[in-house]
Amino acid sequence: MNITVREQGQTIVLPLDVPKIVVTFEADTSAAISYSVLPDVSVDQEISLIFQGDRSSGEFTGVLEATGSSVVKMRLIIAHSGKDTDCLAEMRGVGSGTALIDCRGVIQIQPGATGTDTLYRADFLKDTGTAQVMAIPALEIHESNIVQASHGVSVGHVDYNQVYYMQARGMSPELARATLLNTFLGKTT
Amino acid sequence: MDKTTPKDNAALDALSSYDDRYQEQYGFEDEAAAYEYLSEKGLNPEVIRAISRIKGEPEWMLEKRLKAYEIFLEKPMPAWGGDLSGIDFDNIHYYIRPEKAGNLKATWDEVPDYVKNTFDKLGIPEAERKFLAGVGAQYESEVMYHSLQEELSKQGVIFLSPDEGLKQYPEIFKEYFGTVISARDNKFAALNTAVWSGGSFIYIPKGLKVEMPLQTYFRINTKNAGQFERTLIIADEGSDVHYIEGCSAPIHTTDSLHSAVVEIVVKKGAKVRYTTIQNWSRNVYNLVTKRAVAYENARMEWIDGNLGSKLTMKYPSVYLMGEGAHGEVLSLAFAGSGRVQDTGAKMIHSAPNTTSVITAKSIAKDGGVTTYRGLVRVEPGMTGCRTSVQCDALLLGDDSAGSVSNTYPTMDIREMDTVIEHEAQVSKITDEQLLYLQTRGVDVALARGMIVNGFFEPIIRELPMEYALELNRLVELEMEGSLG
Repeated sequence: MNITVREQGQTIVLPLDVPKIVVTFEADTSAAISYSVLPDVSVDQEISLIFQGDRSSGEFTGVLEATGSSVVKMRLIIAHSGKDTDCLAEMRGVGSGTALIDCRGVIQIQPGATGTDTLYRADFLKDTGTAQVMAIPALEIHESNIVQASHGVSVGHVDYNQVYYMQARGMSPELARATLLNTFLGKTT
Repeated sequence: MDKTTPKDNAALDALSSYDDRYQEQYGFEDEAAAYEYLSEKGLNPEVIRAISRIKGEPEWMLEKRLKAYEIFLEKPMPAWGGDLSGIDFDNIHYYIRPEKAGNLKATWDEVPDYVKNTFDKLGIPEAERKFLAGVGAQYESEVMYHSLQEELSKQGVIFLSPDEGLKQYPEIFKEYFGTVISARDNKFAALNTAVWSGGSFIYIPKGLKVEMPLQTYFRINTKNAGQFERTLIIADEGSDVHYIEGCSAPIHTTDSLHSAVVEIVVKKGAKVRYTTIQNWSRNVYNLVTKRAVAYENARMEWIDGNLGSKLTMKYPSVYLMGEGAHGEVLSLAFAGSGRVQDTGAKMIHSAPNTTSVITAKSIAKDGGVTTYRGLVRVEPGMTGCRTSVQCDALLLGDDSAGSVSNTYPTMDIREMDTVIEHEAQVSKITDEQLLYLQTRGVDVALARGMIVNGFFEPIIRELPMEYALELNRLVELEMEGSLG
């Protein structure tokens, strides 16, 4: 599936049933892209964001809820070939049950892509000891005249102190955990 | 924008200037070198039998070597990392025994002049006098000098070449040799096990803290040489030691191969710090396997500075096997023109409540390639583990030279009750940073140097002062051209 961003301020919601999606940015365009994997859904997808037009700009927000025995395999490729492009990609995920999250994000900056400013951030929480999270970010930088290229990854668990705090205020442990996880994923209950 | 002085064909000037200065300080070749045994080029069982026979080894070691040779032949070349296609295994001398090797010398006066002169030029005897508890000096395949402060020797510290370790302490040697890194681990570990010669064998007794560092310096002189040293360090319970290795070689037009294996056992409550300042010339392939196992409440620290070589592939690792163990890697890499530094770290959390920190800093300049490649794994059931990985890279020099910076960290987390953090950033020296310093009266060249030194500072501050100065000097050598 190919999507071309041709104007400023586009909003794109990516589907889950397409194994490979390529989003290409033309010059002087911008888009906010959202991607959401719902509970109990297994996916195996590759998403490419290609910033080939000069001064193109993108924001990517991904939410992965891997529950039960679902398997979520997601590969995000952020490729910059135009000049003065920027991208902010943020991914959040929760793994519970015996679910597997395998999330790979790579930033590629091609020669000549001067002035690139790009960040990939992925944070995951594990809600059970049997869930598995593989987080593999990568940077491949072939141009030295850039602003910056960064990635950050964290994998943790629900903070017991926070659960205790909420229990002390009358919440059941289940509700406390659900509230914390939903807040982490940016959802409201 | 940061146009890092492409003036006056800077890239070419820097390259030739670097080689000139390297040649003068580290890359000189000793014409007077004489060899007692120089194996024919290429590897076969006869070469291995000759190494074992000359060293007077027991039968079990010869068998281990021959078995490892079979594994070496079976295993394919790694298809990842740097380009290894230039290594011609048939064009390497696998064992070079300098004249008068054997019977370790305890004073520099007993060392043959040509060897002594080499290490004099590198400043090793002076360093020994000033701030080292023990020194080893390896020339080609053999350790030519070894000393240890008498007091430490009386307290039970063993600091020998592995050959001597095998002769004098065969039981300890056999108990630990190949237990941390087996010949099956990878192709180059198999090669090392087949033809190993030289290195260090260190044992620190229970509860003893060695206040001053131990050091070994490795030197390759011959072209088409292979150096395959083997280092085995055992820190008994509650002990503490800092080991430093340095290395250099002349610049030849044909390639040499350095493929070491370092095994470290850090027992309950012990601490080992292993510092490497790697400064091989640009014709050396540096393919090293380094691994430590850390038991309960032990602490293992790798400080790994890689500035030289044609291609380095090195990923020091710590297997955290006991509760409360801590592993740390501070990695510094500088890849100038034509160099590839493929470095990183591995932390395997195989016990609960273990912690690890990886800090990697790299600079790619004028077409150099730096790659961070790492793995953090938390095994199932290992609760309460924490790990933090921080990778920073700077791209310097001529924008058109094609410098490359890659980061490939892998996090494999199989336990819920863990906290894992990783951050990486690739950037360049910004105009704002330069302007800030310039407005305070610092010229551009000095400002760049200050920023680079500041970038490496978290690692350099962990070194003994003399080595910090040496490392600063090496960075300066690499920076030359862009600074002027």
